Amino acid sequence: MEEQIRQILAETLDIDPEEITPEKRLIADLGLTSFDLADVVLQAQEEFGVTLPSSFWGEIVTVADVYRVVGEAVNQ
Amino acid sequence: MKRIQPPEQVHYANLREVVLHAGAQFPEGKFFFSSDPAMPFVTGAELKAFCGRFTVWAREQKLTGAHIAILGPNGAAWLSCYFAVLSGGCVAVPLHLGTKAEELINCVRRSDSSVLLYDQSCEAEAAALKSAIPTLQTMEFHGLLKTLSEMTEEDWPKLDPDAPAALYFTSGTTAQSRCVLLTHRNMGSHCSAAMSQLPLSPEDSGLSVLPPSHTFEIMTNIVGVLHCGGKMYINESLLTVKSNLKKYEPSILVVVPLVLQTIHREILKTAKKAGKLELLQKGLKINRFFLRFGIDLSHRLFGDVYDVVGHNLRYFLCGGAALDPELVEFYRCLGITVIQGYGITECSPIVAANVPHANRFGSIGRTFPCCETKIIDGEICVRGDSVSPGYYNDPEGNREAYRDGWFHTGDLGRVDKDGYLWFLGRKKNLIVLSNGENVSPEMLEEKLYRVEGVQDALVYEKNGKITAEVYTDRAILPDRDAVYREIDKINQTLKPHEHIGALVLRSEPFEKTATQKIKRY
Repeated sequence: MEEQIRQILAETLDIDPEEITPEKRLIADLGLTSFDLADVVLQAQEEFGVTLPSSFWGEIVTVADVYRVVGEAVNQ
Repeated sequence: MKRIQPPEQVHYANLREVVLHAGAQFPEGKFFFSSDPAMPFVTGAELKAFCGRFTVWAREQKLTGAHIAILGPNGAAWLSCYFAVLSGGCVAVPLHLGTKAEELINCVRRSDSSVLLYDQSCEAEAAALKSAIPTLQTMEFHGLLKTLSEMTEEDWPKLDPDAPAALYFTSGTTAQSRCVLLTHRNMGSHCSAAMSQLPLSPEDSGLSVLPPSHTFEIMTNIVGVLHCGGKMYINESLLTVKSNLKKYEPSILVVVPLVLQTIHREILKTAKKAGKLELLQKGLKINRFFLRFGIDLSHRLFGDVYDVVGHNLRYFLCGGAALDPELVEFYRCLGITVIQGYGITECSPIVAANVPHANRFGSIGRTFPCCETKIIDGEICVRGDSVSPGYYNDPEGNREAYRDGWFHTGDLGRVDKDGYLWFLGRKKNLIVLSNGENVSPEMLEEKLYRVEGVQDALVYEKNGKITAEVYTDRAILPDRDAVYREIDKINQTLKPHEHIGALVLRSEPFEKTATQKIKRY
């Protein structure tokens, strides 16, 4: 799952997946915009067949947060 | 007891400076969480960039200074467009969502709007407007914001403080809405005063319940979160308030009295259902006693209540209509402060508020530092930096409301010896009986709203009788007899000339304004 999320992020940002490490902050370090993040989430929802809770946006700061929140949604 | 200190003084010359502050202080902060899947929030840096780039875009499109109407549900996209338009040297014209097409066309024409920015959910309204006004340019929110997000050049020309910043249609309770012109100075001075008076902090989280096309929401809640950097969730509709209170647990809620009444009813209903109504009432008495000594036991006593409103709620900022002082007391005993504000769109909008560091129970507080007030022939009159220079293209309205250098609010009031303002009802609504006695319908409506089962109440004079028109929850007040019994109880508390003498029982709720006030005429 983490690999797939990393792939989505790398494609959205057009960067090398190697640059995407768990501690990287999505906005501050990777430069994602709100539109990019909306795209990433839509893709992740389709890829894993889950609906992420609306509180999701407030919770995610780093790449690891995305792994965690998507992981929790998948396991539910 | 520890004296509550007012917040620090701040100075904003206009709303653009609030955006610049948010962009500099909270560049990665996420603002305005909403259910729009394409734009679920906007960061401080993005919002700032949208504003700087819009100036360039507007110049390229030859739209500098244009009046730009904005229509759509509240959310990051609506608010980004609004701040971009204001900051970019154009004039924002927020339209009320849910307004009939005919009235929207009227508003676009009256405001001389040449562009409409709209949410994709309002495509039908945009098409109707375009068909009625073929010269109107239309653009969808996300289309504009995507364009701006791909630009790099920004420009921040000086904004003339006395240039128009926005045109607001009052959601007044009378038939013809007024088009209020607010300048950058009006809005900036109000922001400075509000942020220096209201107790907001970065730890606060809010739920935006009122429409953004209303100045009270923008100038308190929305500006407040940009100033402090707190979290703000956008509520989708009044129907979702209850579930969103539980979900997001806001600490501050900007509301109109109807929302406070609804939550009050919900708390009582929940307590009754659980067989804990007596316990709740006892708890309120106990906490009222301890609050006298500065001890607040609310979180120990009212766990079940906080399950209804969320466990973080500490302030309601309430404006828009007269508020029942008993409701304020009810929430105070629950440990939630109601900051009652008095405002009017023409004053950007807050004129006075009962802030925690200066409040008097039952009054509407002291005048905000952005304006001054004076009672002229019983009417509250206002002048100062936050007061609009006048209605747009409405000389008759201006002659009526602006006299001798004062804006006449149409509200009756008095000022006590300590400078607290007291609201005594709308001048236009005042019932003047044949014997010359005056009765404030708002005072009687307050009493009706306290009755369990009364959902809407309007009081007026008809055929010489004080008439109450009510809409009730039929499970609690099923028929006229049941309502009459309650009116009899109310009449016993009133002076004889104030007695309600006639009843109209409605089969459906009243038509309401954007801020949930009943349309009187």
